[in-house]
Amino acid sequence: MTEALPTTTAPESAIPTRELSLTVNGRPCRVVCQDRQLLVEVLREQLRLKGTHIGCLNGDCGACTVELDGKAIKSCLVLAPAAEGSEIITLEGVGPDGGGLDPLQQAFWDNDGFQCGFCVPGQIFAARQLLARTLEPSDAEIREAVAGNICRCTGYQTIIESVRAAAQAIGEGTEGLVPEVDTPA
Amino acid sequence: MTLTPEAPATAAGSPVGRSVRRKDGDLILTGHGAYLDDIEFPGSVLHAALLRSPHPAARILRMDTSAAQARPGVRVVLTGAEAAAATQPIPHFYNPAMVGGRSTDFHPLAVDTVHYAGEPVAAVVAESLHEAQAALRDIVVDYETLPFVLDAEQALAPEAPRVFEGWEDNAVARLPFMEGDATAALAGAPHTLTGEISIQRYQTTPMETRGYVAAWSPDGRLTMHASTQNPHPLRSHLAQVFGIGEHQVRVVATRLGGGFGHKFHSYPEEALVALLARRAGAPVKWLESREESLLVGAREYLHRFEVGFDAEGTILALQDRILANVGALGSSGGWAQAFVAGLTVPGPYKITHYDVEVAVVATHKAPWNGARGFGKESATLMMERVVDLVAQRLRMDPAEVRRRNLIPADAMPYWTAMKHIDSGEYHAVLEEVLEAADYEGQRAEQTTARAHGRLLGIGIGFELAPEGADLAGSLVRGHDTATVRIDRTGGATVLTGVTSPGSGNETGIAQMVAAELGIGVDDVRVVQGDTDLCPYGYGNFSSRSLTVGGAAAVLAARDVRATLAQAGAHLLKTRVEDCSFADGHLIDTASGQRLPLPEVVNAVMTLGGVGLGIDESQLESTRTYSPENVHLVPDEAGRVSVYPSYAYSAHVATVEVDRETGKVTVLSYTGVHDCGTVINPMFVRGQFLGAIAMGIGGALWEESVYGADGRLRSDSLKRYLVPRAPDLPWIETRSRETPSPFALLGVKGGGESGVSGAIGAIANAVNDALLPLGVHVHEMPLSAPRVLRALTDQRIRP
Amino acid sequence: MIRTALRHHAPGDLEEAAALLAAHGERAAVVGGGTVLVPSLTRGERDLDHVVDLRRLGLDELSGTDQELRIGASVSYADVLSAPPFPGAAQLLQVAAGGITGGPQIRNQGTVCGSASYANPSSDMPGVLVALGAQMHLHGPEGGRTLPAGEFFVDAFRVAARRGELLVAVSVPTRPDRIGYYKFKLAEGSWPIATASAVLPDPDGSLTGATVTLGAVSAVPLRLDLAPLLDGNGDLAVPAAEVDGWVAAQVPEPWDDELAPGDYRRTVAGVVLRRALQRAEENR
Ligand code: FES
Ligand code: FES
Repeated sequence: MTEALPTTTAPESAIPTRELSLTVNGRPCRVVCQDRQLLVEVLREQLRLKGTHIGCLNGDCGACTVELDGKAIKSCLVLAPAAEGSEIITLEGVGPDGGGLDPLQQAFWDNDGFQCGFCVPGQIFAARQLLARTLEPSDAEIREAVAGNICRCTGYQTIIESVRAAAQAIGEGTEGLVPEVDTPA
Repeated sequence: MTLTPEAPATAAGSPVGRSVRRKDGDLILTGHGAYLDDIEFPGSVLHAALLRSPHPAARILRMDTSAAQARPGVRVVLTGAEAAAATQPIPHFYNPAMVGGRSTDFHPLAVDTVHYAGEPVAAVVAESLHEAQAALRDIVVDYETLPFVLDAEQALAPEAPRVFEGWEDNAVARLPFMEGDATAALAGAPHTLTGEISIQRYQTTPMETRGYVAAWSPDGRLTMHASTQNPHPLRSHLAQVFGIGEHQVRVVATRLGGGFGHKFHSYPEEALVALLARRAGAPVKWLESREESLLVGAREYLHRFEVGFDAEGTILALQDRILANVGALGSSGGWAQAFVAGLTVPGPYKITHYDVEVAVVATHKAPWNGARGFGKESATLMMERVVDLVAQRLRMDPAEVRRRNLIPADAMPYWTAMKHIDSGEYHAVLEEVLEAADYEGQRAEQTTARAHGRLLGIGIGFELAPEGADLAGSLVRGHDTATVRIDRTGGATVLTGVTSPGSGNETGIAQMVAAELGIGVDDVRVVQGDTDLCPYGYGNFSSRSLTVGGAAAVLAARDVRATLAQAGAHLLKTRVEDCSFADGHLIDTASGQRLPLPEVVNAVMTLGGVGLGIDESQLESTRTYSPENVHLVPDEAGRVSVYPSYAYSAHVATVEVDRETGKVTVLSYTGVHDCGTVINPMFVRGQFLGAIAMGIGGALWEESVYGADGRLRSDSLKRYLVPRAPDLPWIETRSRETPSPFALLGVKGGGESGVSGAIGAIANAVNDALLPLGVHVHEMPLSAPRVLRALTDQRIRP
Repeated sequence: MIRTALRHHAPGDLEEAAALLAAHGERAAVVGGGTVLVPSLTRGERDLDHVVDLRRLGLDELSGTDQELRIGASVSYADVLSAPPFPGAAQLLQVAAGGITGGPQIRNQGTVCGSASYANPSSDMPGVLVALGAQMHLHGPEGGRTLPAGEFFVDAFRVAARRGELLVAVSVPTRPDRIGYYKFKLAEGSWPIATASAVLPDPDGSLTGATVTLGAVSAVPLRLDLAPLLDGNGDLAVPAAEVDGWVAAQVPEPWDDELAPGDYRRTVAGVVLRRALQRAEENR
């Protein structure tokens, strides 16, 4: 067996690599990645945004969901180079700029819309997409909207209640789904 | 909210019984939850990947790792023989030998024989996971394949291939649970019926899979960050495996993305990752892939039952022969669920003559680990079908047969073999669920629907959930320990031996401590899972976190409160009995004078021992709470009881079966549960809802299917179907609180209730739907192909 | 975690794309929405050295003439769904796109052409495209060619693309046929067990000339002409059980997987066929 052999050759020299330009959570950035990396890997490893989770790497669970150019997508299904030039919002970037929670996040907290929290990225981004379309979703529409996500803790019911509550709060309030960014005085 | 006499005087403003939001919700919602794989470790962490056997039974003739070792980035390649030579066998979570069963030793990797497809046979550590996984392909293994057996019944045949060398047969254990004289009672019963029902192999599928990060420091200390439910016992086991002092091991259980029993410790990968880190001389991380995670089994039972009853529907006797296919055993304690499956019979019913035997059988499938329900779902399924079959035979309403057989409230506490049931109002909860579900109305609708040829079915499920197991002789114990400290800002820190699988028990414990000290829930910090910080505890299983972890914290908080009360009485010149705690103040109820808590704490710290009427300035306390209602020493009748608390719930499900495809749709669902005193109604409801969803999933879709080649076919979430939001109906819930007379705050375990009742209710509802056709389906899950087969069989019948 | 030294290409024109695919043969593949190819690489089920990304090829057209609608290779299910209602028979595609398994994320990512190229028997698109008599537009080193969908699907997971060819678009007719789609799956997360796409061309509302294409019940979609079941007026002349028996006889080698055995698929084939017809009837 090999005992901790330190390698002398650059191990991954043969792996195609590139520099990507992305806008992540409003900030432009450049990141070096291997062509074979998945978007979720680049977000988590290079950009250290750990709020995007991995539950299956197979497109089934939704835990890796982010918003890419305004659409909720599963980032384990995207090769990082395919994201070149795109604008990405991760769970870390959902709330208002100064910190805190947006009305949707707030509704999930107040209505117990999660337990362990692992599935939250999928639920939040799926709900965002739904609420951008309608603020009066039926329960069936909410169930359909989160159908790409698996939650093993809640049985989905408190997720539905959370989305309902968020829809109502946003509908009644002056706040938009994504709160206005305060312009510095 | 029911208050026990011991509840603090501050109860009026108490956070106990309130739906407080979960702690760290804001962190989780902003992506800062920090689950195992999210934690940044200093220095570079290497990555491990495991080579798993493609064969269910094989001898490893030769293994050539040279090509893998030569790959760039590869740091360690380890074989089973090398791993076994460097470690002691992995201790069992719960050794079958403890109940007189057969046992064997397990090692981090298969040594020379493979017992199931998917068993790890070699490991690679590399600088990146990509490299580690790529290197696995370069390991050459010569296997001599051996005959294998996947079915429990076949495994018991004399000629069956043995899973473990040297075993006389494949029976791990045969466990009897009995009371009275079932044979005689059956012989004398006016009516009897027999039947068979099976429950498939399936698991819990937490969204975060398991994982471990191990690092050895230069002084020989091992630190393991683990996605585990039992950090302290894991530490004990790691110390034993490596032959080092337990104080030389630190385990940190990270925030779990779900546990459900899947993350009980004693998996071979725990010691393996530690060994790999030692060999690599650097931290090593291993994360279970979803494919690997789906290997873990948790149930697969066949019940053969005979029941005797009278014309009034009173059940007089029950015999149940249970066959449990626990796979290739393993060091993980999943097999013990078969024990609980037998123990739970006859559930909530007053049956005085019963005879249950569980044959725990090893096969060449992957081993089990725990699963929410822990065998109780299997017992419940059988019991609930039996009750409905009795009703069917006597043409009685199934609700009525339950009324006649449930243990009456005035019989509590109730002794039956292996169980001393603490409390419960079963009849009241049954009536409540019937009323909440409009059972009578639904039956009327069903009559109309049937007249139109629709296959509408209504099913009741009643579940008994023994909780808080205390298996003396193992590290699966009932008691637990907590430390409570109060600080000079009036905040408290709780260090507890129980951990959270993501259910929110840290918030519940904070509520309990906050109530004792009259401070806000946000002023209580709960530290869990770090063996360097927390008192030894057994972690998270059997819904014990609040019943024992919370109770221990309450005792410790009361100690602290007593010190503060003494000092406060001195400062306010009042009597200790008049001191109460609320809103962050100590209040003299006689005069209404108030002192901010920080002032009292400060006074104790700075003046204790020199005034204030206290000798010790001790502002922290560590207390152990042992559940009262555990009877490990047989009483004069030879009875023992390992579970202190007995939650229960009643369910009504309504389903429609598509006559042409066999597909089952759940139209409505109602559940009423009772887990004693409730600390946080929102969380209790959340647990109940999640458990019901899991129960429905197991009843209808989830199944770990094996191919004829002995390999798992349901190896992705496309092939293992868990419920998604559109699959489930709205679930109406209610709760009732019958405090346990034996628990400190009357609390019973609430984390599992619902799984078993849902399976029973769905199975009864589907069979009720099929009733007009004269067929039943007793093979779970009730997937469309299975239900249609039953319908088709009926069609071809003359 | 992709184990091979994969290189990602995003060519700017079709010639370059075809040349890459031709040069690397089995070691290269097209990546569209990624929903199938990427996880198969992650799971190590496929090993590739090159992927050819369609994103810069401008294949996102979704345009129509009065006879047909052309859907480019980069058009996602979500694009199909957010477009104005498709005219005539083409509407079938929109109906099916709305029920794609995997939730809104997959509908944002997955593409009609990607699904067609994957040719998974247990999926919606192959059956729908065959039902519509879609034209499959391929481009390869020798230029473009067009195949009818019925010839495109050769076997399970196999299409009639030659080395270097990629599917650049499909076109579907907008004839004013009535359509009905019925998909049967076991649960929300399950891929289809059986699908049926009914196309009823008779403007007078009878079943004369009607076809129903079954998906997911056999390796390739099965387009059934209902003529043998009809009476002189173009009405269904036989009872349901007989329809089911006839349909089952048309499925000699049913598709079989861990979700549902072949004999089950064969049994429910007639059921989904009848239900699709019923939906088409309701679409009057
Ligand atoms: S990790 Fe991407 S969908 Fe599960
Ligand atoms: S909250 Fe745990 S998986 Fe959804």
